[in-house]
Amino acid sequence: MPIDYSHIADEAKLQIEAVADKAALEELRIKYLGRKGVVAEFMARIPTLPADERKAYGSGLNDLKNKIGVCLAAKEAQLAAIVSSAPDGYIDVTLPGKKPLLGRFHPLTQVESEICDIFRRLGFKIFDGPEVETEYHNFEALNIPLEHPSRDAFDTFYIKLAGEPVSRLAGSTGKLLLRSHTSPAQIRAMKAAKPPVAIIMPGRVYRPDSVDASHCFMFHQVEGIAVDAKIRFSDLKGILIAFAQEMFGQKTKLRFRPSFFPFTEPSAEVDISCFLCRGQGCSVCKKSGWIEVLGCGMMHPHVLKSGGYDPKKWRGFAFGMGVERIAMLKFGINDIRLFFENDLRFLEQF
Amino acid sequence: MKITYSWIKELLDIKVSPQALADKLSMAGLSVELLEKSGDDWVYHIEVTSNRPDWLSVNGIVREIAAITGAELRNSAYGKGQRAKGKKILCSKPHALCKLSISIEDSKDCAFYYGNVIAGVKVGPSPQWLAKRLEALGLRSVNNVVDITNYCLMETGQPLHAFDLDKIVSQLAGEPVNQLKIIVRRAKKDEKIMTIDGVERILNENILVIAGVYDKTGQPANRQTGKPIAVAGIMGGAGTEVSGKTTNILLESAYFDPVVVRRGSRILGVASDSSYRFERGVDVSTVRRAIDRATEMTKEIAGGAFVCAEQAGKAPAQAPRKIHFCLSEALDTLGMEMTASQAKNIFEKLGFSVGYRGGKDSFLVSVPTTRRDIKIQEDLSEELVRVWGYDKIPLTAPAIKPFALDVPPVGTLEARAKGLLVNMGLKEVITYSLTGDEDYKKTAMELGANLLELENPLTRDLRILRPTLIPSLLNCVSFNVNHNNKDLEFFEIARVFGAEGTSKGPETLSLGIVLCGEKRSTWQKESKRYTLFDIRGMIEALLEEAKVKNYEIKKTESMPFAQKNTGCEIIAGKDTLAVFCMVNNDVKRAWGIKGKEDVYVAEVSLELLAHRADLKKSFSRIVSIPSIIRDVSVLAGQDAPYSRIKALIESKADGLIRSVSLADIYQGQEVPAGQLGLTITIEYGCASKTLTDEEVNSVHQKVLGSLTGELSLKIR
Repeated sequence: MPIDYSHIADEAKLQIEAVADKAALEELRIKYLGRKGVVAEFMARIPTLPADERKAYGSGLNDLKNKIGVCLAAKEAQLAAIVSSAPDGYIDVTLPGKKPLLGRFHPLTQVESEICDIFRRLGFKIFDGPEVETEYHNFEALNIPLEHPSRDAFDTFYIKLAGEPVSRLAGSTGKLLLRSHTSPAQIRAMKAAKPPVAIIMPGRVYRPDSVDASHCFMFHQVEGIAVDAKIRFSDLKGILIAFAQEMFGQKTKLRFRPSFFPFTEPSAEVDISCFLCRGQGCSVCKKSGWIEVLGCGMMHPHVLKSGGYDPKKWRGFAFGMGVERIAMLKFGINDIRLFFENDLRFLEQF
Repeated sequence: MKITYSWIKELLDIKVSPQALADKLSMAGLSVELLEKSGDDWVYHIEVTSNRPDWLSVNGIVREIAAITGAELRNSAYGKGQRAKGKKILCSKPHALCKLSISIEDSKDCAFYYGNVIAGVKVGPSPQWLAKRLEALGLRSVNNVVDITNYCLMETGQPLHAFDLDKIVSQLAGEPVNQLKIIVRRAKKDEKIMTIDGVERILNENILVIAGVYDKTGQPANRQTGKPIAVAGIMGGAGTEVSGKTTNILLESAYFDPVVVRRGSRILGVASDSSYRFERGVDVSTVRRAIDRATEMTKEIAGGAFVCAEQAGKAPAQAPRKIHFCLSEALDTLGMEMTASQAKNIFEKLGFSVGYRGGKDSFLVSVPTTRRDIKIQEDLSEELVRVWGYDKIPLTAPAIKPFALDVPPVGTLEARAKGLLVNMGLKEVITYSLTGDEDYKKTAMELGANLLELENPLTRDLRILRPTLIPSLLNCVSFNVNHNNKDLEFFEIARVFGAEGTSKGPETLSLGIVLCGEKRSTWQKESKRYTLFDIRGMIEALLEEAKVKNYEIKKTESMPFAQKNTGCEIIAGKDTLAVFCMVNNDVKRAWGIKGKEDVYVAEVSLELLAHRADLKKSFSRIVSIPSIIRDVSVLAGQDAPYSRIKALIESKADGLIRSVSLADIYQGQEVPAGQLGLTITIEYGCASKTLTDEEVNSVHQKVLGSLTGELSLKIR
C-alpha cells in the first residue's frame, strides 16, 4: 500500500523556510536527509516489506527526498544572497568592478613572440646569439670585407677593452663589438646544428645612430635561415607568404624587389601590400600601396662555408626584419622613442 | 644618386611615363625612393646599393634602362666624347705650361693619373642648360669650369678635378712657371691643407694627397715632396681652386685605390661625390673617356686651348671576367623555369657576352669591366631573375625537416620567468643597454673592473655596456613619477655585461624588478603599499617555479643604494642568485624620484639560476588524507627570527609536517620593542594515514617544547 508522505514534505518545507541562518539549515538537512534522518529511517524499512510493495514505497520516498532537497537548495541560495549583500539589502550594481592588476608584455616582446611563434609553427627553432660579437662574426664571416663600402650599411659600436675579457668570448679573434645586426647569429646557429636546419634568431642590435622619431642606437631584429640540400628561392617565397598572411592578414600580398646584401645572392627586399589602405595609397605606404618589411635571399656560399656547411652540398635561404618597424606599423605608433621611454600609459595599452 | 627624366630621354628613346619608369627601376633593383616634379621635368632619387658603382652615373643608369626596357640609345649632342689629342700645342703661340710631369709614389694607391692642361679659359657663369641640369640633381652651379667637371662626374661616374694652374705655382714660389710637377703621394704626419670648404685639415700617413711642385730654374723648391694641393679623390684644396680670375687649368682624372680613399674619408670625416665613387671603385676604362669629354666641353663652353696631356702609370689591361654558368643549377636554386635562349638574351641585353660550352645548359659568360660585382654563378643567377622578374618565381612550400638544436636552459627559464612576472601583474619594460657614468653616480655605485666600454660611443651618457639593470629601472621610475604615475611595478629581462662573478663570457642574462608606491586597486582604499616582502615574494615565486630549494636569504651591505637594514641577498652554494632592497632616499633624490613612495629593487641572475633550475613539470599525487591545523603565537626577535623558528618546527616534527606558514604579524603594546608577535600555522599530516588527536598533540608538544627550550621563546 503506497504511503502518503506529503505531510512530511509540507512540514519540512515550513521548517526550512523559517530558518534564518546556515547552521540551522544544516541541522534540518541532517534531520531529514542525514545518515540517521527521517528519510533514511523510512528507507531502512524497505527490506521488511512484501516484494510487490517495495517499488511503490521506494518511489514515494525518492519523491519526498527530492522535494526536501529542492527546498534546502532554494533556502541555501537565499541565505547566500543575503550574506553578500549590504545589510539593508540594497546593492548598488553600478559600483565599479574590482579589476585585477594586470601585467603586460612589452609591445616589442609581443611582436617578437608573434613572429617567432609563426615560424615555430612552420618548423623553425629558436637560437640566441650573443650581443657582444667578434668583428669576424659580424662582418667577414658574412662576406662583408674589411674597409669595404658594404660596411657602410652597418655602422658599428666597437668595444674598448681594458684587457682581460677578450678571451671569454668563444671564437674570439680581433676586435669585439656590439652586433649591428642579428646575422652573426646565423654563423653560430649553423655551428650548433647539423643541416638540414631551419632556425630563427631574434634579439637586440646596436648601431651608432642618433635618436629621433625613426632611429635609435638600439633596436630589435628577427633573423631566419633554412638550409637543405635542394631548398629553393621559391621555398623562401612560400615561407614568407605564409608568415606575412599570418602576421598581417590573410589577404596580404608580397612583392619581391631585387636588392643587395653581402650575405645573400640573389637578394631581395620584400614589400607587403599595405594593410591600412589595402593598396589604395595612404601616408604609411607613401601612396604606393606597398610597405617594405624585410630583406631576404639565398645564402651566399661564403656564409654557408663560414658556418661549416659545404656550399656544394647545401643551399639555404635567409631573411631578416626589424621588430620596431613591424610593431610601429601594426599598432600605429609614430615614434620609435616611445618603446624605450617605458611610460606606464604607453605600456598599459598593449 | 639623382637623375632627371629629361636627361634619360635625351640619351634613350623611351616611351614610358616618368611614373612607370620609376616602377620599372625599382623592380630592377634601382630603388626609386622619391620621384619629384621639378618644373617641367622629373627627378628620380635612386638608392644605389654598394655593389653597383656603375649605377652612380647617368650613363650607367641609362645603360640599365636600355637593358630592362629594350629602348634604343640615341646619339646625343654630347654623346661620346672625342679623344683629346695629347702633347700637342693647340694654342697659337707655344706655351710654357706644356712642361708637365706627373709622378706616383706608389702604384697601389693610384694605378694611373691623367692630367690635361687647358690654357686661356674664360671662367664665368655656366650656360643655363648646364646650370639647370646640375641644380636639378641638387648640385650648386659654381662656374663653367667647375660645373663641367661635376657634369662629367654625373654623366660618366668618374670624378674629375680642375686646378687653377697658376695657383699651383704661385702657392710655392709666386714666380712665373716654366715647369710643373704633380706628385701623388701619402701625406706626412700633421701636414695641413685648407680644403675648398674652408676647413683646415690635418693629415696623416693614411691619407693620399696630390702635391704640386714648382721648379724655378736653378732653384728647386721642395722637389721631392711638394705641397698638398688636394686630398686625392676626396676634396680639392682652397689654394688652387678655380675662380673668376683663373685663366689656365689642370684637369685631373685618375684611378685612386678604393680602400685608401675610404680610409682617408673616414679619418677626415669628409664624404664627397668623388670619394663616394672612388670608394666603390670607378671603371678603369672610363677614366680616360671622362677627361677627354671634360676637355672638349671646356674648350667649347669656357674657351681656351688644350695645351697638353700627361699621364703617369698605365691603366691596367682588364680582360672581361669569365664565369662558368650552369643554367639548370641556377633554375633549380631559384625554383623557376626559363629556356637557354631566354637566359642568353638577358645576359646579352646586360652587355655580357655568352658562349655555350658543351650543351645548352652550360654557359661561359664574359662580364664587362663595369660590372666588378659579378664574380660567381649566384651573381649571374641574380642578374637573370632581376631582369626576368622575381614575381615569376612560384610559391612553393619547403619540406622543413626535424633536426636537433639544443636550447640552453637559460632560454627556457627566460620564457618561463617572463610569463610568471606578467602573471604577477608586472609590466615588462625595455631599456637601453648603453649607460653613462652619471647613471652609476646617481645610484651611488662604483663601477667594477670588468667593465665593457665603447670605443666610439655616441655620447658620454651612452659609453658603458651596463653591468646591472638597476639604474635603468630607477630611470623608468623617475620618468613615470615625474609624469604623475607613482604606483609602478616593472621588470626587465636583458643581458648585462662584464658583471662580476660570471664566467660565461662578457654577457649574462639578468632579471630586474622595481616596485614603487602602491599595488593599485579599483577601489582605492584597497590599494596596498608595496613592501620589501612583495619584491621578496616575487623572487621566491620564481625560485619555486624553478624548483630551487636550497638557498639562504641573508642581509647584505653590498648595495650602496639600499636603505639601511633592507639589503638582502639570496645565496645558493657559492652563487649569489639575487639581491633585493628598498632604495634609500639619497639615491631616490639623485634620480629625481620625488614624493613619499617607497621604491624597491631586485636583480636576479637568470644565468646562475638556470644552472640550478629544474623546469620540468611533474605531477605529485594529491593527498586526500585530512591534515590537522595548530596555530602557535610567539614573540620573535633578533635572536630567533622567523626563518629559525620555521626551520626548527620543521626539524622537530618527525616528518609529520605538511606546511608551516605565517598567519599574522602583530606589534602592539604587549609586544616589546625589537620584537614581533608572530602567529604561525602548522599543518600536520601524514601521507599514509589520518593522524589521531593524540599523535598530533604529542608531536605539537614536542615542537612547542623545542621552541621554548632551544630558542627560549615565549608561547602566548
